[in-house]
Amino acid sequence: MTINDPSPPGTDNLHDLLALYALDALDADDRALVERRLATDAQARLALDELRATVGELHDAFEPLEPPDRPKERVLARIDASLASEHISQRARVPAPETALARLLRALWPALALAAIVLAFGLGAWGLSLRQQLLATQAQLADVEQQAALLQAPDLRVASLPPSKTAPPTARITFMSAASSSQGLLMVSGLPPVAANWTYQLWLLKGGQPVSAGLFNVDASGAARLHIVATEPMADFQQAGITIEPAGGSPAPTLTALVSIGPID
Amino acid sequence: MQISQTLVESAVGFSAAAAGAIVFKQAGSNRSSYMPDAQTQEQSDAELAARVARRDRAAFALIYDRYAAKAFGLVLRLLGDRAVSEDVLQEAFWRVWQRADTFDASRASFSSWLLSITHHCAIDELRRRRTRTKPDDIELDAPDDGETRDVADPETDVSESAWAGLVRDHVRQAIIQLPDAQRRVIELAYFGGLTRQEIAAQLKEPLGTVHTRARLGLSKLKELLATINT
Repeated sequence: MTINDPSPPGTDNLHDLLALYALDALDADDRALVERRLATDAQARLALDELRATVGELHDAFEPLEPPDRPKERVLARIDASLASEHISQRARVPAPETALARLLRALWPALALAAIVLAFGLGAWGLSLRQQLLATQAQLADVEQQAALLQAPDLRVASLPPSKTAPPTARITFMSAASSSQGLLMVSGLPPVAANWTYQLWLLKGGQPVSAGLFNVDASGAARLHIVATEPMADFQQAGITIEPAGGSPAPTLTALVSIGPID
Repeated sequence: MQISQTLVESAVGFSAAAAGAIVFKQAGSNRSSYMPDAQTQEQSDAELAARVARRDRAAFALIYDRYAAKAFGLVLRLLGDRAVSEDVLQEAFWRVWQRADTFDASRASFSSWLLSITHHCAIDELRRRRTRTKPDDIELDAPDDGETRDVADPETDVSESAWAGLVRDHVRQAIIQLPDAQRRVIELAYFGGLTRQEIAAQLKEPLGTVHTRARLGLSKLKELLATINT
């Protein structure tokens, strides 16, 4: 009996397939077939677990090797992007209040014409701000989707910028950019919030010349994300730096207030 | 305004006037110097896995720190190319994040579950590579890591290029003692990422034979691992 036999595989055949399944030696169709069987066959699951434990001894038998930082940074960046987009999606799924507004208008309009006109005018203004909120949330979602697209770019570079001597040594500053696009993403954690009249400012350096790339502050947990869309490709910039500037930013970086600087390419 | 690297490195730092009221929190070290025994590790892995399933990023980072070296060693042994191995490592841990809620501590150890996902990712990459290059016959390449090869024991005919990376002696011994035909099937599956049909074609054997050798091979391997002293 082979797998191409239309009748369901006998136990022997399934157990052969389980060994191959445990070894990752099945194509997608065979895998799907086995998984369907496993869903309803507790004995087959037990048998598979034993086979996997044996194969697991092989997985465990090779020399461990410390990887570089890049894969960790990348996977954490992916996780952060996905957590952010989950959060935004949840907020966007709140039912549109316009429905309640429409119901209210319909209920009030036939009553007193003048009062209804005044109310509608007032409620219309309220409806406008709700619509603006919805548009803002949609814009945020689009922005997060842009960021997710950036993280999939084949020419994505992930750079870890070292904190300066006076920044907390545990601060993590990651700058991601796709060389051919004009987009970048700064992610920081472990930086202290700045006081009310101050701000963090990100700079991109092109041949040593700083160009302001945006202002940000961190939240209570010391984290921040800044999505950058430049006017030229990221490949034009070699370094990024962060300084603390007066609120509203500065035209040029204050070198004595340097938080971090490093290469991004 | 020019910023040179040396100027930046000699920047004095924050003056109170420029920086305003900023308090730097001194982060204490929370890395434990206590090495947990295997059982404690198991419990803490399962706890971490449960936290990861609840979207706990810090728990995931700990899992990564604990297992990245093992996973990377495995992937590099299969793929040989460091840059590609880094990408596969990243993909494997991404899948661990996504599937953490499917981990069942009653069915497997967390380590085994994680490394199984890792192995699967590496196999996916091997298969992607093959659809790009389509060689006529699949040869298992020795990973290009500059290691000198052990001299093959002429009596055992272990394929050194594939199994050379085994550092656990009892596993190595068990593999050596497997009947050649069974070991060859396991080798082509485990290291080559071949499907059962491809293995049958490579070995010029019927599918049924490949099936039997895979099943018997793993059964024998389990028996040998249990009996060989660690």
